[in-house]
Amino acid sequence: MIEKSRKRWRLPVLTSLLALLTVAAALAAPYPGGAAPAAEPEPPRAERERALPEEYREHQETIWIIAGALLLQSAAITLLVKSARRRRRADQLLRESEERFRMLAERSQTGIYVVDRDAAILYVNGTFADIFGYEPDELIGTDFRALVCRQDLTGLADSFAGQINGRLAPSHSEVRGMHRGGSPIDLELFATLNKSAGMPSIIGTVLDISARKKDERDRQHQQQELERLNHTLEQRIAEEVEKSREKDRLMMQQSRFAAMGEMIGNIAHQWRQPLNMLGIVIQQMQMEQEKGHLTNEVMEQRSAKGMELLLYLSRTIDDFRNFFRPDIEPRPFSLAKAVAKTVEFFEPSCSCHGIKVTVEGTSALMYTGHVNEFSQALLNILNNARDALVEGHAGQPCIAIVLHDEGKRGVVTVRDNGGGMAPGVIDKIFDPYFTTKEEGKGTGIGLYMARTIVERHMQGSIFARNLPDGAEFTVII
Amino acid sequence: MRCLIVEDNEMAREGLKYFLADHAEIEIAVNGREAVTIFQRALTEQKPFDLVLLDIIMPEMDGQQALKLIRLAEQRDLAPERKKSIIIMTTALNAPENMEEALWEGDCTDYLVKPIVRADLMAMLRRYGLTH
Repeated sequence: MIEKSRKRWRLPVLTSLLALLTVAAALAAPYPGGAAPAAEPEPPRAERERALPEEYREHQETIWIIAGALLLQSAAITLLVKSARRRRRADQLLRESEERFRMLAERSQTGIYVVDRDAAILYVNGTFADIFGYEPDELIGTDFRALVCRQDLTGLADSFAGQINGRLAPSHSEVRGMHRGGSPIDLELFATLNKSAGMPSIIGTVLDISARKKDERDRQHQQQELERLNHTLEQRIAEEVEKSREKDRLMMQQSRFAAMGEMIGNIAHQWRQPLNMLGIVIQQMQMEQEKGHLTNEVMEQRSAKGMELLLYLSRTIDDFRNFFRPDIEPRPFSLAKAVAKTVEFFEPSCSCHGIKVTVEGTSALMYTGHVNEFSQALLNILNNARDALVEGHAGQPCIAIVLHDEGKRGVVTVRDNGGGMAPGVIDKIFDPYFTTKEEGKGTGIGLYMARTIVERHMQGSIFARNLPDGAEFTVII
Repeated sequence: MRCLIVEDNEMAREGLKYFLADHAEIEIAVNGREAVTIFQRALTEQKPFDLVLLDIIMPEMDGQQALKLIRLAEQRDLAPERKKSIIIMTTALNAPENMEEALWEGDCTDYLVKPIVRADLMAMLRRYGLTH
């Protein structure tokens, strides 16, 4: 800094010194009329001036004018030199600035472009070219619009024209560009008018916002999805509830079919005996007729017996149909009668296994509900007890059904002596599809449906426990 | 021919008795336990049965259990020169084929599914040489 200051002052100082030397030389010049006087002791200043010849005093003014002119000249020279230096300095600064901006443009991570009024590309930086998959040189002179998707061309053209005609402020737009490979690119485009080069041009920047747009689209999609979900939440809940109900209905139906299958077996068994008897009656009549034993009295006896058997078979069909016919409306029914009817259907499936079925106690309860649902629940519990006894090989297998009332509620207890439930099983027996039976022998829905019917449909309760020699199920409605 | 009819249903019992009345000397049992007792007594009296019609589903003792005990009694008490009894199981079960293995294991001779048709019964008896 100090060195620079010195250099800055050197020129005017030297110029001033030169002017002073010139004046000094003029004053020291020999007298114009003759040779210089010999050296003598110098007299005082006033005497010397009085002693100056007249001619010398006449030229003194001219000398001062010359000296002044010299001073002015030196000052002008100084100014010229300074101006030249400033110009050089300005040129240098301009070059440095240009270099700086060029470097900034070339190394920018933003695409930079310059187009003329016809959208022909005058300049692009490397990033701009990279965005579109080209080299910068390949793009110079080409039409900017060729890089933009057709549907966005109108907007782009309007923006450029607006800039050129000075109608618009520096514009910002989002357009879809086209990569060299053919894939679309989301672009954020800035454009502003540039008049510095005389001919108006547009200078601007381009950002590849494909990733951002994709994120925005994803977010928008998620938002829409969220809104849709919110919008349809209530509907979906209703649908799920309906599905759940449908599942219950389906399981109910499965349970009903399983029970029906079993009951058909029971009915078929119940039918075989009367059918056998009917067959025997008919064949006996034929034999009696052949032997001449078929008197009127015997004929009447055989006919009466045959009709009795036929009516029994018919009644069995009615009972069976009623038992499995879904009740549409809830109706009051007697708990004791419902238990008795269920046991009537159930008992034959036990007798063939030597299982004794007993009903003790009674109930005065008249319950308003679907009697067949209750019968199905009870039948599922009874079937479970029977299966345990068949598998367990108890010495005197028996199922005891006990009825009684507790206040306004009726209680049905089913006990068996089949050995009870294994530890860990008792907590799961009412779970859907839980079964301890061999594959193919149990569906695991019988007790689940029993609980569903008792607890959900009848607002009752059902529970199970082990007894010393078997299991006990209790239904309270 | 001596025949033991084991059947808990009275009408079925009487019908079978009527069917065979012309062909056999008939005794009746109403359940498996009674059948075993009668069969053992007949062996003791040296008057074994040629034919046993044995119902499967009966109270007190079912036909399968009775079959095993009857065959055991035969092994123990039947004179070596006598043939084993023809034992025909009668059943009202829906799927007797499921019980075949148990029946053959119990050494029954054959089985009939109810309702019993007299002609089928007589054909079976002829097949086993009990009637002509």
